[in-house]
Amino acid sequence: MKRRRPESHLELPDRAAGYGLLISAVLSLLPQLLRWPWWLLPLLAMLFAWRFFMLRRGWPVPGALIRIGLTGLVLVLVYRHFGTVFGRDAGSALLAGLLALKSLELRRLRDYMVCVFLIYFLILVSFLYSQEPWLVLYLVAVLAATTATLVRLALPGISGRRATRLALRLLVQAVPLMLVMYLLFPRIQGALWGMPQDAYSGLSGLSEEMRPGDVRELTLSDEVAFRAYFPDRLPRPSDLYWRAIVLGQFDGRTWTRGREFPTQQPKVSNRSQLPYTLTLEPSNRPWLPALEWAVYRPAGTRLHTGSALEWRQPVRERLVVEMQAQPGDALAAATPAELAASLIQPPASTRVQTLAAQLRRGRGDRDTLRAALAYFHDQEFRYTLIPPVLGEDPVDEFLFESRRGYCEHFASAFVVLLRTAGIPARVVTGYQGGEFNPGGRYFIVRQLDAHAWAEAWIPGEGWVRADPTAAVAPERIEFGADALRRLVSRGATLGRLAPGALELDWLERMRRDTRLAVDLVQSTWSRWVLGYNPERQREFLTALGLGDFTAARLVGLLALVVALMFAGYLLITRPRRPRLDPVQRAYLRFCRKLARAGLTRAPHEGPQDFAKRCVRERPDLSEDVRTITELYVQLRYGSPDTVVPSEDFAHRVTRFHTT
Amino acid sequence: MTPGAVALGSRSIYILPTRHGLLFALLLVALLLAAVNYANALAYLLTFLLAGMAMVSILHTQRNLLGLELTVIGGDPVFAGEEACFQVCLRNPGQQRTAVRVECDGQLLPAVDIPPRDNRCIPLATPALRRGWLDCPALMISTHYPLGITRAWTRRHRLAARCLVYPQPADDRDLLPIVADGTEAAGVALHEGDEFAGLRNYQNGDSPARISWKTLARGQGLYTKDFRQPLGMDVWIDWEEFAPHTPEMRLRLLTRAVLDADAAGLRYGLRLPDSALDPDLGDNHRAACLQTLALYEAPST
Repeated sequence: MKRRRPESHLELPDRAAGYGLLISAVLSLLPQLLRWPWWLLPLLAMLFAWRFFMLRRGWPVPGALIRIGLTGLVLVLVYRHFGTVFGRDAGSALLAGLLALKSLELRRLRDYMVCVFLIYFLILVSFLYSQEPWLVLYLVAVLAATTATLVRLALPGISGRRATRLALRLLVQAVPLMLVMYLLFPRIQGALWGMPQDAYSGLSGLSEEMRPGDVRELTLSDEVAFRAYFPDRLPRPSDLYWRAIVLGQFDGRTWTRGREFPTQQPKVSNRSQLPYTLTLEPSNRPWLPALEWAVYRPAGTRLHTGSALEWRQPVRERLVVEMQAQPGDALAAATPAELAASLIQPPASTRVQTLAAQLRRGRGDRDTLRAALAYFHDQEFRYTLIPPVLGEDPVDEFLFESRRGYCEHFASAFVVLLRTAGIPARVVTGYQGGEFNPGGRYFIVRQLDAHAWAEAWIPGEGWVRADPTAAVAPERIEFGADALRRLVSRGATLGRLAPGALELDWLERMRRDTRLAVDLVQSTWSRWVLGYNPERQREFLTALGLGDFTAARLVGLLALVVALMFAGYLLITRPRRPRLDPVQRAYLRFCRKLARAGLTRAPHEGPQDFAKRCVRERPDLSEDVRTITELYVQLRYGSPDTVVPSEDFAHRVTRFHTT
Repeated sequence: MTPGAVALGSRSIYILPTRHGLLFALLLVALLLAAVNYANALAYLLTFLLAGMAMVSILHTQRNLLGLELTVIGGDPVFAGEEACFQVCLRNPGQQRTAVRVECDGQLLPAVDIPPRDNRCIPLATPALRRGWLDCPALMISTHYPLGITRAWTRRHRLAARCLVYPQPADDRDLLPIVADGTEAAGVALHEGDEFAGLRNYQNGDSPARISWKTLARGQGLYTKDFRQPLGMDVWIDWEEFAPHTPEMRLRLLTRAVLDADAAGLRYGLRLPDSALDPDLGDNHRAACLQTLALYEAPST
């Protein structure tokens, strides 16, 4: 017997579906247009325009040679541009090209379907680049439009409105299933196969090294590094030091982390603890900037020299961590080897040695530290984001000649000075400050809030923070890096600021408030929607009492829940008896009453005939039967003008008795 | 429910993904792999949303058929060699149904939408090859509503609807003279034995055999010959007269004779080996004769 191919008999999609497909394709590509190489845009525009005129004017399908040639061209161009055809960037460009080419060659229903599925995939690719709530709203709309197109392909001749309604209904009904699968589908830490490097291109974060004097201009990115949400108390502004990396080794030009020393959680004099939630943006770096000082070490991190927390892998997706901070001075034990290492540096210049000796003269460690800070405050140091490039001995040159720089210059020179004076010291980098969002009780810390400061070992006190930048430009610490940038751009002299110089005018205030409101939406979104990772899933399952479930059991559970939900849907949507209007219901009641008395209405019997038969067989009921039937016929078949209250009819039926 | 109708119950509805559905499953796998590899929350959500949509669409597909009531109405009798036309009717007691299809031996009838509590009938043409009763072929109802990725179909329903197929009338060259009562041929009887009652104005629908060609040739206009009851001059269409032919051919010839006699407005009777219909006139008589011929079974010898 010949195998039947039901699909091949189906009608081809109508022209409306063709337009729908074209529109969905273009809409799905829009968010990514600017990321692609320039030559792809005219190519896509040309192909889609051709498709448009095929629909509109009946232009012919381009010949097979042209199509094959164009496909080859796209492949070659993508490969030449990206060096590969796989991965996110090259893959998305290639998919876009193929979609446009495929849309020229729509012969069978399957070709249309393939296009729709490509569009679905391109929507996913957009999510790999950006997960902003606005983009998601847009793409959900594209998703609905694409699904409506799929409906129109499957059901030729359906109206656009019905197709859209049906698509929305399907999507809405799928949401509970989606949530269950989202929560229960076992999450895997890390990638399935080597994560393509291009996934993280363009991520920025703190560098492992610091080379003050090499950079001509500090570029400030206002990309968000992390957000910290404080449910209870807020830290004081002067405590907002987010510790990330401790740099202990200096070769005269570059600060690096140097040797590892055994380290432990510092003991803090301050008893009060500040719980907070940190939402880290992906940085492709392992640092965990923690408010000084972290009480617990979160799972998945390790403690580095100098109580710096670090993830075992680079942060490549948004991470949500619960943290606790204890502001105050830390009493960390330090091994003699660590302290000794904190003194080593290339021999300082004579000028630096003289200055160190001057600061030291007869003072204890504490006082020497204070004197060094005072030196930075009193001398003509200036904070600038455009420092001169320094030569052979950057520290010497900075301390005695240029005297202009930003936090890295100050921290570096300060630590060298202390070490020369015989005080163990090190550079700490991380972030300082952050913009507070009162609506959500959280701080937004951006890359431009990156900061470097110093720590000195004071016997009996431990590692003590000393921030020379604060001594030079207290505004940096007090108002934050963003305000600083504004001030510098206005030409204000830091350190001698008139009160009120930072007042925002109404426009700036409005802009700030809008920005904060937008950020609140975004951060809520990322905390509750995007932050669901393997850890969160474990927490969630533990809360359900399923903490020890393996992936296989989880899949089983998921299947069970989905099956139950499916059964639930079946129950909810099972066809119900069509609802009768009250008149019909009452009449059927009347018929049942007669049936009990032995008078059953035959299916073919109309009300009138039935009434006649009843009257014949039970003359005693004739009056009631006649009246009720007459009323029924009037209500049911009479002109709409006949005013017979249906309640009256129902009443009569109720009062009707066969005995 | 109308008697003879079949309600499509959940047990008789089967659902499987179409080939587009398999393609969709492939898409879901690709989406899931991308989501896992990039550990992307929204990619997961999209994947699961589409997977959920596919699951929900299975229900919609089933619901699109569930509860429909299928009836078939047999068509008017046809002659063998023509197409019998059944009316396949679907009554929808529930919600709107969309793109419901009737399939019959690989033949797909156009999809119909059935509004709530309404019904739709689809003509189903089937070649009528042999005389006798033609049963309505087995019908299968299918749909790939709503996304084309799932297809539901019912088991094949054979409904008690049939269509009468008359024997195919014989061609002119097969024609042998019809025998009138006595010995004359029918053609002779028409001229000599009929009681010609006069001429009347031609009316649309009058048989060409009764047109008065003579008056037309004389240029006197179009008249129809009007025959009154030709009492006593009955024409017998007799099985025995067509002896040289095979039984089937005889039936075809008899059919042809019945049609010709009817067209000529003759009073004719039909005589078969095991039955006879007395001479009469009119459509009912014609139908009775043709039905007898259609259902005639040669006595087994």
